[in-house]
Amino acid sequence: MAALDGKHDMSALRWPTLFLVVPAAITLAVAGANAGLIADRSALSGGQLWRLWTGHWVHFSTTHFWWDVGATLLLAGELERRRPGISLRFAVIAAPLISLGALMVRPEMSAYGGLSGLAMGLATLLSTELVRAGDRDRAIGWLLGGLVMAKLGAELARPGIFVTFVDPAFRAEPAAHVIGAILGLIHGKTVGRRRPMPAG
Amino acid sequence: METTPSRDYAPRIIALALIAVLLITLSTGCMLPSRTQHRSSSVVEFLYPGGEQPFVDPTTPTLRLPLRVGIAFVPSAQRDFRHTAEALPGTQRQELLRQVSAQFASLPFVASIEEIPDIYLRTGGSFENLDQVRSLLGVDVIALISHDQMQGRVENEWSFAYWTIVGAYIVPASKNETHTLMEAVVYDIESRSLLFRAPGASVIKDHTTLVRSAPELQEDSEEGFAQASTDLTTNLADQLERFKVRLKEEPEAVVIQHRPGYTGGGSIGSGFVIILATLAGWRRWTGSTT
Repeated sequence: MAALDGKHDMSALRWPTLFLVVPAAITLAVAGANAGLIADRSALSGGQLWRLWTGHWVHFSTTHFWWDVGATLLLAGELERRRPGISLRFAVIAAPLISLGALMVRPEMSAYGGLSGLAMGLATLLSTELVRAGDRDRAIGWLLGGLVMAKLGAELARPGIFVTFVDPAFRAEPAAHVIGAILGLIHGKTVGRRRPMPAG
Repeated sequence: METTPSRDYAPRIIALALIAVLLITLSTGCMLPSRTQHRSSSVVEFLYPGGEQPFVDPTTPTLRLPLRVGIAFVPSAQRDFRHTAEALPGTQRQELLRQVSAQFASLPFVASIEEIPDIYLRTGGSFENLDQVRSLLGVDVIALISHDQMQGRVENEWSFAYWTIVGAYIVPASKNETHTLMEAVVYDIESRSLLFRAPGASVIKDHTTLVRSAPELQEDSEEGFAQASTDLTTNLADQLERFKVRLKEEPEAVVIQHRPGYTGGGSIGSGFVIILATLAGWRRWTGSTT
């Protein structure tokens, strides 16, 4: 997934780092921050709507944080190189929908957190971009899409198959991944499509 | 001329007195009785009272998170109080309960902690008693705290000075030893399974005078329980961490179920990230361009 001109363009990581990685790192580092930012059902009912976005910054362990951030940077970085601003636009739109969707699909779940739902959305969004690009990128795009589908299928069949938290208080929840992946696909097919340049 | 018989026998009397003193000195340790005290409560005697009762066959525990934990002191089985002093002092019991409760309260998968009153557990109550507690208070898991403290006093050769009365006040010829063992054993009540245990121990030795021996023993007893309690809470924290890791690494040992109200987490997983990185590296290596 090289840059368009073959050079490493670190500026492509600027917005994902600033709006996703850094806040997640601060949330992990500051004791008690999770409680005020996690997408908690009762708090959302009480009007704390910022949690629909900030819940994605919440992680339950350092390994949870690093793997989610690693995937986000890989995916968002490549998207930003191709279409600057697309990952940020997607994150702003999809974040509350993922949080709401996960809480609605799982009424017994009281709170949700983690960047992985957005990361799955970025994966399918990138997959559509690669497929649209053609040539060798199309094969990689289909491969990435297949990888996402396989992961979702395995997680739905057996939740926690890839991830279990050391702390048994937390449970791996694949619903957010499914919702994120669907939103990424929709965004790539519709909202994220390039508008054709006007003639003349 | 009259003689004075006492003057002739005086040296012999003195010599006999010295010999008597020497004999008393050598045998003092045997003459002053040693003192022992024993306080104990046993989890085994509580859960399996009587030798004839068969052992319960535990099943795989199912933990429904978040857990409701009960904490209780095992009732003492001792009925002979001739050599048994008071059990764990009330203030220390409360402090230990507070410390153990704090350990469990720090765990996010613990919903509530119930301190079970002593009157709810009867001597030799066994698992039936725990079932009753579970029905009454709704606890899933119970932490049973037991203790065993042995105190002893032995006089050394300088204790002959006690015969001088003054020596009993100023000569520290009594050696006190206090051995304390405490244990917290955590059981899943429904499956009768032992989840983990944490011990705590202390040894206190000192020398004291005969007059101060009893008060010193009492102080040593309280200090012994305090030190053993601290050791127990330290070990309990360690065992709780090991238990969390065991829950993840040995899923067949404990079945985890989540009650409504759990916290869900999305995690991309290491495998997915590694594959992504591999794809990225492969594309860069092949030099693809758009």
